[in-house]
Amino acid sequence: MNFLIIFHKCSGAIYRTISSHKCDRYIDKGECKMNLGFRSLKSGGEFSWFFQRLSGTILVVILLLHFFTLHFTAGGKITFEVIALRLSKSFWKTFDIVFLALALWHGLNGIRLVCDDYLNNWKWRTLILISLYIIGIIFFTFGSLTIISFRPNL
Amino acid sequence: MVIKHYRIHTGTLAFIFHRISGITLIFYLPLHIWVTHFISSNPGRFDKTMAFLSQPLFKFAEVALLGAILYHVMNGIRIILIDLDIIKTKVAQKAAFWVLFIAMFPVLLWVGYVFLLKHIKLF
Repeated sequence: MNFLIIFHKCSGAIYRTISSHKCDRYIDKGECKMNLGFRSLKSGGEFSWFFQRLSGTILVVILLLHFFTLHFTAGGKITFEVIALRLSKSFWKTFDIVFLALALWHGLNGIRLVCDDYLNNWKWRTLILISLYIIGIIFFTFGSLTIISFRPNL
Repeated sequence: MVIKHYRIHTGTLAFIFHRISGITLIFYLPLHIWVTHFISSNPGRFDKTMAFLSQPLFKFAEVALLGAILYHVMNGIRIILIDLDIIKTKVAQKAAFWVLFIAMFPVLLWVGYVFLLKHIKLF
């Protein structure tokens, strides 16, 4: 019974991801033929709404730190040595990975919001939303691999 | 679309530029990740790339990027203040937008000059 409920919720979430706005209107009025019963996992988008603001404020602080540490240590030119000093410490490594994760989440969620506003064709929606996930995963792994595998030439 | 059928308020333009700066930034971010990834794979190429990107044209592009970031941050702060119910009246909303928008420019000029443009030979 539990499994059925979870499956129903997940399929609702997937359906909600790929469905267009038109069908949402029918669901609200109770006219949609696919009766989902109850809503999907992220029904109101509350977490997304909240997290955009939260990640935005954290990103402002992190961005200030990032900008000022780089430009105070570098002066004019940014070279390998400047960054080697920074990235050899594990604090800055984790800081950068957290920064990358938050920035990618905030940005790609923003693009998702823009898509929600303008895109009604569900094929284009699926395409763009799936590619947003793929871009997020690719660039996050790419960036964290860069940070983790960094070796200062001693 | 928007401009044709709805009246344009202060908040409309704020929203539009927030979106435009947001899209600019999310297109910039993968580029930044690509440029900095050479630090682990090929440090020589990283130095060459950074030397290439220290040319005056790219310094101006950096200042433009900083402008987009600052606008997005300022409008984001305005949105968060409205959501937290700190700014309530319409007068306060408009005032908040103009205060933050005008406060953006000194910061942009100062940071742009001191950190970015002072180091190029034109200045």
